[in-house]
Amino acid sequence: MPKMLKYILSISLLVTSINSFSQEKTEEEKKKIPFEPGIAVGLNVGTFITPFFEPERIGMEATGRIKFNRKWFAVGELGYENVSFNKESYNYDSNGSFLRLGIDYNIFKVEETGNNDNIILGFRYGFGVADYKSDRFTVTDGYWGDYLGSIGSGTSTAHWGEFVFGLRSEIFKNFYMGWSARFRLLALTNNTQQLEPYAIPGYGKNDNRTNVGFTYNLEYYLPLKKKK
Amino acid sequence: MQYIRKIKWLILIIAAGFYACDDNNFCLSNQHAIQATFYSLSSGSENDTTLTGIYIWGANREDSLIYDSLNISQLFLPTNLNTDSTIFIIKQSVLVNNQVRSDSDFVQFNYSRHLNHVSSECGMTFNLVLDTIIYTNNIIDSVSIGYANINYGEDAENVKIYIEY
Repeated sequence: MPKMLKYILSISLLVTSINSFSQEKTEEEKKKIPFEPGIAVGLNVGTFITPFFEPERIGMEATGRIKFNRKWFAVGELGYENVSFNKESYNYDSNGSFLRLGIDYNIFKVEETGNNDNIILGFRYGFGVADYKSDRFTVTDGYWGDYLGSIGSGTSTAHWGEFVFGLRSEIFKNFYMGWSARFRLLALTNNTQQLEPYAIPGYGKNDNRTNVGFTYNLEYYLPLKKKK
Repeated sequence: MQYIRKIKWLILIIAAGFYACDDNNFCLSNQHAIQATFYSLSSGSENDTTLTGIYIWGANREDSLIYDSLNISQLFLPTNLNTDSTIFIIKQSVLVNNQVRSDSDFVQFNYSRHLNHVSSECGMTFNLVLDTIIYTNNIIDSVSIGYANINYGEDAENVKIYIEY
């Protein structure tokens, strides 16, 4: 059932964004609008949806975007993630934050000036840090008896790169909605404890050196130059 | 707009697949057992062999047999994770001329334990490295370590037990 919900939600989000993206522009809207450099700030609302599917993970992510020209954007993403759960084999608590920096390239060939929709290819460098601990873990042994232990607080740092593909659409004047799919490659991790972190903030679950992620952003664009 | 319509369905399928992707890890149990094989040198060369009437239990665990009167060639001996050594008693009872003949040996495995975080789903286990083996020589002739590492998910013969005949 959660998987089905996940499908329904993801498809509905995508359809919404694509529909807004592919709306036909009226003749009036096709009036030429000069390029305006500016800054966009927003939130990844996907982080509010994640706890419905993974209740152990709670976080928030803000995004900032500087538009240099019609093609290139500098992007920064900053957030935090707390993880807490109590399983039969171990319990776990972590508090972490992350920063991603990178660039986006807009491959969408604008057919009419004033259309600010984007099809984005991008790259991010990601850095995450988390303090974490396990107050109780059990290694099951049916013959000699279980091993019971605990692991005190430790710190984990991680560096990764991610490739980005996404769509971004101006749904109202200066108000953007967009999603992106991310393919992440974990490059370096450093843990002060034997226990590896359950999840790396900003990267996702720590079971593999590769991971996929998804963002769904709402952004407000602040032009830096006033229109003449 | 034709261009966008073409990629719309492709993107929809790929991205929805990414988002709905689920982890389906499964966890293994009893991954800290020493794998041993009985060998005989009676023919002049090393051959694996099957012993009959074998009973094996851990020290002070006579009430809980690991092997109970079995004909076996391969052993899986669970290590005690609360200590750095585990002792097993290997007893053989066979009927010879209508009389039960029994012999037994103890084997002590010394090892170091290394806590291993398997995965977020499976939690922790120990990987072990065999150090030394101490044993008596009634049934057993000698014991050698073939592969010292006892690691989660690995299937390898760790120890060779050579018998007397």
